Amino acid sequence: MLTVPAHTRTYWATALVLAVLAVLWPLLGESDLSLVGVGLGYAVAAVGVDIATGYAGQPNFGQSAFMAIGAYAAAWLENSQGLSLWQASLCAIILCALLATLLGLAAVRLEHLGFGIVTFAFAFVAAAFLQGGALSDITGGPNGTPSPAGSLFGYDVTQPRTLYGVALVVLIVATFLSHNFVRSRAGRAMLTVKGNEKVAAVLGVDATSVKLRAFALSAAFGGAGGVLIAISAGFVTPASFPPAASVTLFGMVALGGVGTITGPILGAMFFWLVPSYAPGLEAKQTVFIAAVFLLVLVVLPSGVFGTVADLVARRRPKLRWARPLGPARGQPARDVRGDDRLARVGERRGRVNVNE
Amino acid sequence: MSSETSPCGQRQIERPAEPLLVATDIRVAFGGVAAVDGASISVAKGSCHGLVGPNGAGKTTMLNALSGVVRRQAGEIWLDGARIDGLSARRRRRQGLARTFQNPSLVPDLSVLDNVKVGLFPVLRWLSWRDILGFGLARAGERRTAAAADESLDAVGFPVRRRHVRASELSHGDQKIVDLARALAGRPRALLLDEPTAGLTVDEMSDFAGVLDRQRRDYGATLLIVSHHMRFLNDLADAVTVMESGRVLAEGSFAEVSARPEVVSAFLGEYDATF
Repeated sequence: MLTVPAHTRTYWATALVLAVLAVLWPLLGESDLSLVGVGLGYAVAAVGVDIATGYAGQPNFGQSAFMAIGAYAAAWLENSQGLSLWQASLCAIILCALLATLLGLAAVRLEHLGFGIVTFAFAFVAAAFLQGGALSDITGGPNGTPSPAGSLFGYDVTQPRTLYGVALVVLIVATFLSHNFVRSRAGRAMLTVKGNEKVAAVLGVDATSVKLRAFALSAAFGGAGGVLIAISAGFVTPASFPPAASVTLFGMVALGGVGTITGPILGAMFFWLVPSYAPGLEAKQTVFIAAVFLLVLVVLPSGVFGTVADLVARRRPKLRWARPLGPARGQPARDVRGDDRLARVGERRGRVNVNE
Repeated sequence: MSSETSPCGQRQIERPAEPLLVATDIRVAFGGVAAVDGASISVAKGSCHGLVGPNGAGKTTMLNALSGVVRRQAGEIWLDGARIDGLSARRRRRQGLARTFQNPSLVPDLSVLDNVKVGLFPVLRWLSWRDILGFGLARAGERRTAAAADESLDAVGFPVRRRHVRASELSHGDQKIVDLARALAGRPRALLLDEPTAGLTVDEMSDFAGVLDRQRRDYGATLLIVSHHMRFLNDLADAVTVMESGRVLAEGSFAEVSARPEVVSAFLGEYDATF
């Protein structure tokens, strides 16, 4: 299990990364926008993985399933049930959160890697279920189904430029919610539960509830990422979100930095864009991802962004990080020895020292 | 016993202090080994009670059973007249039973203030969805939480200028003080402390004793302290329970208990004249 410090003050870095992505919006061509737009979808899903894994200590290896469920549900709700794109997408995201809550009710009680194994198994079960015959009226079975499409506030989302803008807004909202979540009581509770569940219980923290909320939010982001990627692809098939994509998403988070929010965005962009642009690398994508993943685990266990954040934290003035405890300003230094002061506590309470 | 002046005269009357935390015939076994075997303890409201004994006597297991960290096989636990032995550790905390551990388990990446805020979970309402959206009410709630955490850190005398330092940057003694502030957050009815002086310097220990004494004096805190440091308990505790091999060996004031030969032999062993 990766044990990487959580950085709770990285929102400026997140804002910087999002600003760069916003600047690229009018500058990139149509094909690049389409490619980076899909990367943004993966970034939303990867931020979700980071919430569950990096903060709540629950390795979510089932994110590909929630991406698929979000994509299929949005497609079905829009194409067959007559909902508008945003209504269908919202319902799909809520469905993912609810399914995660149901799965989590059993999975979060498992210790150590039990949660990761259950979610990974869920990714395979969901993939088999979605391409099987039981739901073929909704999913189209092995042939798939047309993606959710249509317009959002009068703009055609199938256009790469519009989709990029929508994906960027979704990523901004996802990171905003994530930063609020991890900096709030929920975030403190998650880190306490991740550190030691027994201590969390003694402090009155409901570990099950904390982990369930984190997993539900994680899955909701997975659903949102799935909808964005499906819109870009134009068609949703079982091959769109294979269980192996869960491992790739985990690699994105590990590469960027577990428990950083900004790191997974960078990791998603790297893993999605580098094989796409590097000649000959696309065919060997799996090997490339595995090699980078292993290299990062060995050389930079905190991830690229996590390592940078650590270095920045260490360079801060010592006043803030490691000033030794001494008398406060305006207070005299101690002039009485500790054991004498301990005796004074006893004297105040009318005790006689047994040693005397 | 506590004394007060009778409203109709000058005579001092004595009345027994009301028990706040009572445990009777507690038994905790790990496999075939009984770590606590029918031990009972009664901690009076507003008192400081010491729990001592040689290594392996079952003191920490007793504390774990009281706080719900381990499940007891037999016995009853009452807190302020309410039976709590069927409750989980989390629910016991919500009923007002707090504790610290021998090794302070602060979240290393959180600041001192944020660590103490975690201790306020039992008393502050959970409004996570509002927290996620980050609206004004969430910020107001966060301000209230910070104020309550600051109050708890004030109570233990932790300097204001170091409250935004990461917990991992603190010395062991400071971590113990912050752990105490976290346990005191929300004013629990009873506080159980497991080896609060372990690993502390004499200076830090005297500071710690001063903090606990203030808590008792100013806020009427009820404390149950497991400690190996007899001087610390002699100065602080109103009553002491001695345990050995999972059973209660003696109870009473520190002076009474330390004069009993069976207590002395439990700590020092029997004198073997043939040796």
